[in-house]
Amino acid sequence: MAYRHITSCVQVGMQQSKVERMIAYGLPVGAVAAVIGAIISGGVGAAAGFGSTVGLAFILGFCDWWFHYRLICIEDDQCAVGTVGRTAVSTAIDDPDRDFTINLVLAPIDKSSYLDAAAQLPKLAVNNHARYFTHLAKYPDLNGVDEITTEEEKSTAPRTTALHCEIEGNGMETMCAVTTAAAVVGTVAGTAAGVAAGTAIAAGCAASGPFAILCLLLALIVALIAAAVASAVATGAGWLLGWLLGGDNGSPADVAAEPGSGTIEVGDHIAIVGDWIFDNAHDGWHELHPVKKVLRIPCPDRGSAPGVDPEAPDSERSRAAIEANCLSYLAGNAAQICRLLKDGAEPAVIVDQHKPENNPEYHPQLG
Amino acid sequence: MKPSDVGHAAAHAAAEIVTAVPTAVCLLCRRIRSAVRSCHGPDPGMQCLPIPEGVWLRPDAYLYSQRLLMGLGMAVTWDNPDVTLTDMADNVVGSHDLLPSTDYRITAQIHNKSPDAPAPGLPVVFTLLSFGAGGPPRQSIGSTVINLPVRAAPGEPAAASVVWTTPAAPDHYCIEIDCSWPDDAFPIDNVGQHNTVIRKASADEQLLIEIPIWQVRDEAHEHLALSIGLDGYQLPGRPLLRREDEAGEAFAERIKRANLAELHEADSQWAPSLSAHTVSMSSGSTAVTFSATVPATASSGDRARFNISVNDPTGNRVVGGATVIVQVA
Repeated sequence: MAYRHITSCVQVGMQQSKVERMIAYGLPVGAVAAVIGAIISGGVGAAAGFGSTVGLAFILGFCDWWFHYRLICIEDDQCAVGTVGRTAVSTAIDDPDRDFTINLVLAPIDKSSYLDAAAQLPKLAVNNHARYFTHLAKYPDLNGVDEITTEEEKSTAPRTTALHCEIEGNGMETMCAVTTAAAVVGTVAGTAAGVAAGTAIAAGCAASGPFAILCLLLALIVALIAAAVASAVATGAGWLLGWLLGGDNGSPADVAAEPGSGTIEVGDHIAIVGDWIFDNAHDGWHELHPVKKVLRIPCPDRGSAPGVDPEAPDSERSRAAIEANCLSYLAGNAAQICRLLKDGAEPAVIVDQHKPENNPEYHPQLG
Repeated sequence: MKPSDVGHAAAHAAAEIVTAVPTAVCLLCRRIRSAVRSCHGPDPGMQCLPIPEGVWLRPDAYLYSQRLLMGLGMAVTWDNPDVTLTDMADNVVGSHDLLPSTDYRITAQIHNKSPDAPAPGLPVVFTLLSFGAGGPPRQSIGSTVINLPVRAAPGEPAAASVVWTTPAAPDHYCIEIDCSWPDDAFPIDNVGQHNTVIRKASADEQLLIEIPIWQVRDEAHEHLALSIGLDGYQLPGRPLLRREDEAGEAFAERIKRANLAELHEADSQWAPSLSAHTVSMSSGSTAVTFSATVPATASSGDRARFNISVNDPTGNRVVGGATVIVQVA
């Protein structure tokens, strides 16, 4: 299976907020529902129809924003090399996308250095990594750059700023499908509830004499609110159901069972290739999203690292020397590592790889 | 269907539903607990994160590996096509006739089968083995690091070179090259050997060459009957190419059939023979003698190749071997 890529990014300036997408869906959907409601049940029906689309507008707008208007493109297929600082899978009810998160401490920064982005920038200038912590003209500010660290977001523990990298999960896809179905049911149920509530009030308006118009207005408002509440309840139930169904497809256990899968741990040295984007859902940081390739990089021969005590190669001092040597190697060779990683996607290389002479089973001289 | 059957089915279904309810409630409670924890408590993250197939890259570094090919039942040469020995003036030399206390350059071509996973910083280790089949390591020659690109990219295969000063005592040499990557997709073909004896002889001359056989792996001191094969196998002039629409298994089978030892018998005109075709040993070393007689009709420049390969048929294990190359002077 190749990497999953459910989301798409928009060019800078084209990004929108959740509310903008909800309004974009809400107005036409609401208008259609109001017309249908009016045909069925007059003014009360129109109010109920419009109100009943609250849930549907919310979920359609939210999902469209999540998948297509949240991420701002910067550059596809970019590469970063460093140390795994933190890993997680998002499964909470407010973030159920089941993305696999890797917070990568960029080489040559030590993951235990507790440096923030500003302090790291001079050291990251030795390779192309400084750009991930640098504000780009025309793009939103990087106000949240120091929220992505070796610790959980919002943590106050000592932490080192890292680059957020996400392997996409399918939790939000499941959530949106289930919630949208529930929202459609909620639209029908909401319309019925709104019409019932509004009609009950309107029936008594004839007896209210000079206040009949106000009474009818109240009936419309009640119809709208009752429909909206019923729609919201159904949509909320759908969200809960979607989260429960959240899917074992793509869960860590499933992934670990795939024959070609691997594992990484905090402290591993890796290279990552992914699309460089700005995630507009947060306070502002850059990401590699989705992650397309992960390669573990072995460190140079541990014994030859300068500063290693041959008498005590496992001592804290020796381990620190080995790590420093490895980070220096990764930083110095990051460009070369990234170039090698890009080769596999070069059209000319792919063409050559399909030639029979470049496809031996055992050895080029045997076939 | 009788009404009683319908009633029975309905009762069964109801029972199923009732027993499923506690499971569903447990699932719901677990998910809610997990959500509450992640909302209010610290998220511990995951110490070990699985990376999906297709995202996780696994290089497949390899060189001509006698261990792999013999394991598949194919004939091999110990004159490794991926290994070159040169003197410091870049003249190619054979591993048999190296001078003592002299610098030579050993170069190994390392290939990559992976179409998308390079191996940056791949360590390549060169080791001197005792001459013969299955010889133990004698000396570390050296190691180097190469950047191995993906298959068919510029720079693949990549050359790994070390300069080696031969020991002061003259001897035959066997060189082992190991290009192990920690997460290699197919590690069996990461090790290859270069083990040749080149002799010059004149017409009608008989050659006798002693080939040591080592048994260093049998910790239980069990007597093993090792099988010694002799053939005249040479690498094909042209490699086989995969036919259009040919499945991988069919292609692999075709290569195996073309490289079977029985199809490459040693040239009988040279009267090649071994002093034994099996040896029984527990540990240490023994030797077999290879003999051949240069045909009376041979002319200067003629060459013949003989491969002596040793394996442990009961353990299905490749022990080692050597390639003897006779040149008519």
